Amino acid sequence: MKVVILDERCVGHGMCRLACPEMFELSDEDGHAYVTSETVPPDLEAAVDQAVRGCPEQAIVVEA
Amino acid sequence: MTTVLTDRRIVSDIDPFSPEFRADPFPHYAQLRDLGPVVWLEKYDIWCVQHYAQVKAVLSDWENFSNAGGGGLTNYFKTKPWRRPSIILDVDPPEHGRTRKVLMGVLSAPALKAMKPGFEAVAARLIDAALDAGTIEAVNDLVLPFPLTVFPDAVGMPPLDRHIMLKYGGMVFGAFGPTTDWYHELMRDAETVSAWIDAHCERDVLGADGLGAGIYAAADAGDITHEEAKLLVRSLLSAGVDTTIDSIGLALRALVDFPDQFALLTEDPALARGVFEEATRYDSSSQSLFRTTLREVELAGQRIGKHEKILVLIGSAGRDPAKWEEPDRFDIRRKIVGQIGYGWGIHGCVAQMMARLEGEVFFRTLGEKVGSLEHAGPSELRLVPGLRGLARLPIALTR
Repeated sequence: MKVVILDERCVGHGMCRLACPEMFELSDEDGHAYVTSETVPPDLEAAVDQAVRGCPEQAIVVEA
Repeated sequence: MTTVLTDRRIVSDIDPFSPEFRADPFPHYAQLRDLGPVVWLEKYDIWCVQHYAQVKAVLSDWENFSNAGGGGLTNYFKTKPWRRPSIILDVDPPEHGRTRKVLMGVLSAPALKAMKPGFEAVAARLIDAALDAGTIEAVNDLVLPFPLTVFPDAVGMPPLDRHIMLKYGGMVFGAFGPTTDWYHELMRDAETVSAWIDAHCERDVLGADGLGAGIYAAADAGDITHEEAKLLVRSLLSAGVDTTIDSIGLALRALVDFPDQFALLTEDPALARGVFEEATRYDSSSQSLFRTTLREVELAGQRIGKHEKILVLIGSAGRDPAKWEEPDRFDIRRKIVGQIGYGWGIHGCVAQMMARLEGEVFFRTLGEKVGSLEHAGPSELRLVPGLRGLARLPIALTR
């Protein structure tokens, strides 16, 4: 599973970081979220999925 | 440059719980920001932080700045709490992550999408009725009924006696500041109100497809215990109604105060989301939070002892010129990145997306249906401890 953040949609609510702090960080520069790695380890897939469903801007996209 | 850690402190006699401060906190916030990043409030023996940077830093660092000391002025490390502590708000990780995850699950984006048509129908009905009346007292006639309908509907509560939730909200948020006669008066009904709330957290009282049922389903799945499910439902009932009533009311007043911004909304009702987002920064129900230190810490060069309370002024952070351009201007097209009005970090408002949805639906419907909007008398603040909100907002509106 791969995960990307659509930067033009992200406004830095930070909900993804709460759902899965291992995969998502917030930039100190512009406050937007970024992923710590594009590839999602299998044990974090459920948490990333929760981040996707929890993102109010639908700014997180995963590919199988 | 070296940082010199000092036991000297900036002391102020400002009283953040006084009626004068609460009536118009914004000049006082500016005064506090000018004093420094960390100020000692001698009247209550507490610290306060008022800049965006320190507010965010404190809220992000739960390992030093804990919620286990209680959400108000009362220090749970030193005094017994009035109710059994919340299992999501008053705890730190690791216990907190488990319960928070359950609430995040039931409040997911797809779940909220499903609620939207119901919210829209209620907003349309209330705004049509307001337009028919022409001149209304907007807090009680228009604003309050909206969250007080859609929120308990979403939780799956039965339709009777929902106003009791407002009494409970008063008790929860009233515990924030120093205890007053108002608070003691309110607490005289505590037993009845708490019993009603307790009864409405039970599974068999809640509908089969609401948020409450979703929380109990998580208990069935083994994510939490059934006793915890009940307490999580209680958390929803504590924090879900007063907060949005007050925030929508203040946002509506801002729109009446800034006719150019209201005109923008009527031209493009899609700006509704911006209305509520900007209002959450500009003037919103949750102005401050507390954190309690778990150990001696250093914050912006100030040494702070163990188990000391810090008043975190998120309302001031929303007006910090170091973070926001022209912070005192209400601008519904402002691009807000790093909203602080819902708190931040692991205890940031878990239902903030639902609050945003309520705000968006309310102001979109307003922008679509209402052509003119103006004051029809002075507005009045609800000067009770805890939340900031309006008691009265007389307005005149036309199609």
